[in-house]
Amino acid sequence: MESPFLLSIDWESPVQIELKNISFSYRGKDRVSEVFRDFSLVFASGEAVGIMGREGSGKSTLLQLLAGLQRPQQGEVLVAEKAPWELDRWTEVRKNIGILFQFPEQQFFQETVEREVGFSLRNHGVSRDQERERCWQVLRLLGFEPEAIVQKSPFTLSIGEARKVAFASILVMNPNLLLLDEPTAGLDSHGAEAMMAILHQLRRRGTTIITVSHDTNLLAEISSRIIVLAEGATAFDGTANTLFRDNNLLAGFGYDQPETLRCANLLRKKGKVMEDRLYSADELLFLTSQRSAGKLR
Amino acid sequence: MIETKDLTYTFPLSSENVLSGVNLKVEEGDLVALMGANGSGKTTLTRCLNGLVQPTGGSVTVDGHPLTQENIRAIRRRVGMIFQDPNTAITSPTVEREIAFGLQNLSVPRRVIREKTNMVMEQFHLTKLRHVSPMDLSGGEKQRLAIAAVMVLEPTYLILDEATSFLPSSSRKEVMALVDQLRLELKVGVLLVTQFPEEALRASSLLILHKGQIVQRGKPDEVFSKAEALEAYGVPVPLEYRLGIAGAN
Repeated sequence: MESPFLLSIDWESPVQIELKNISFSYRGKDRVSEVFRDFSLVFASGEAVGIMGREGSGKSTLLQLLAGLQRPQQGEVLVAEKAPWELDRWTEVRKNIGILFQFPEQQFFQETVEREVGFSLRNHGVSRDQERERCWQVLRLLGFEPEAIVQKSPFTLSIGEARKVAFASILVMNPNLLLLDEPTAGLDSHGAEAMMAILHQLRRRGTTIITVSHDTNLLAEISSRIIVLAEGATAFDGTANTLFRDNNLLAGFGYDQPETLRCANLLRKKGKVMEDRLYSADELLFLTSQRSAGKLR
Repeated sequence: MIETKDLTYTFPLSSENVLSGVNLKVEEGDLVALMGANGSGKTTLTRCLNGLVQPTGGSVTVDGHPLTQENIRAIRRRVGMIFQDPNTAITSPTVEREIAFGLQNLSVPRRVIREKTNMVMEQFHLTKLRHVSPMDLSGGEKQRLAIAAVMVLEPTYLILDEATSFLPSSSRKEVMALVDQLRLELKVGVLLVTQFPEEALRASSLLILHKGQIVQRGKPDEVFSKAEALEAYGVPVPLEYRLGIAGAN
């Protein structure tokens, strides 16, 4: 799936995303609430980063700044060394950054799923045939049977289906940077697994994925780096392995252990020989299926 | 008790049943959990229980009263609903006015509104935030406010439709503790629609909805033990049950 667009920036080579000494506040009529003060962060190309933190710690604002939807009052946001809102780059940046909002189903406005998913493509002058082909391809990737859904109104979908359709409308553009706000919230296990599988696939292709989530199970599976925000500052920046295996640290941030870790400990208690690392759910299922087959008892 | 008998619902101009033959009971002080894949009919089911959606077949009764046009106002007061996104429920400029809103709509005398609002703010630890705009609250606080604004109407039953989906685990626990308190102290009957198996484990019974039908029901521990069947329905199952090591600690 090559990007159908000609770009002046070579997105195939590493694109660094940087927040440089930014300060940002929401300014109302009679009050100012500060989110970031002199905050800096660098994301390398192809990184899969999970952003965690209590409510109001600045997670969603961070995504909006990276996407160029909010501008800091001070400091710089740099995507490939340039600000995302510089006018001549805006269209290009929009093509390459995919954002999945928290309630994506609220942004639907087309009559059918097909038109909704293909909207950005149409907007960028892609032919009708190509649009259709690309929509169906992405819908299939997300586990839909396109025949069954393309003519439906997006407003009749269940929340999980709507989430996937919204995600499809972003993936058709083949973005290089994905900004995801709670991508699995409200999804059933099939939906969450499909989402995880796609994120793995995109990661292998080198897409930079920045995911805001409270779902420690999801982040443990898909992120190599985790950043915990607290009151507009970085409270933790390190590997998923370090954070999720430190129960006290996690609890201090208000999070539970991922269930894979809890279960690995249970297995250890039952006498199973386990390595000292973070296992994925699939690995644990594989290990226990061997045990139940009597091999390791 | 909320009771449904052979509840069936079909969208207008559609031949497919969204719900078919659903039987469930929620008693006062009880916690019943409902899980099911996206699109299995959970939300439609909850909407049938307080008259937001009129079933096309079967019956819904609340404390013995059938859901009819004449009863609908009384039933809505008895059955409170909390939705996934609190932002869609909040309409007022301050926390205090948000809580008072429901009572004002019912033309309750001002003095009573003030008393009840104060009491509920106290109970839900919102007194300090009374003059704050609901939009400035955190997600957990907003959901607490949404529950307070429903509880001021003194419902007998509360339906939470994936009300904790967007909350971090600390706030989710806060909401669940609040639900337990309402259930134990005020004998509120709760129907909890959730995607979080750890929440369902707290219920006295767990129902699994699949394509509009209840396909599994029982104690959560028993239901989750059928991990493979549940996974086929798209229902999240605690990893302990999938690994067959539940209860090992």
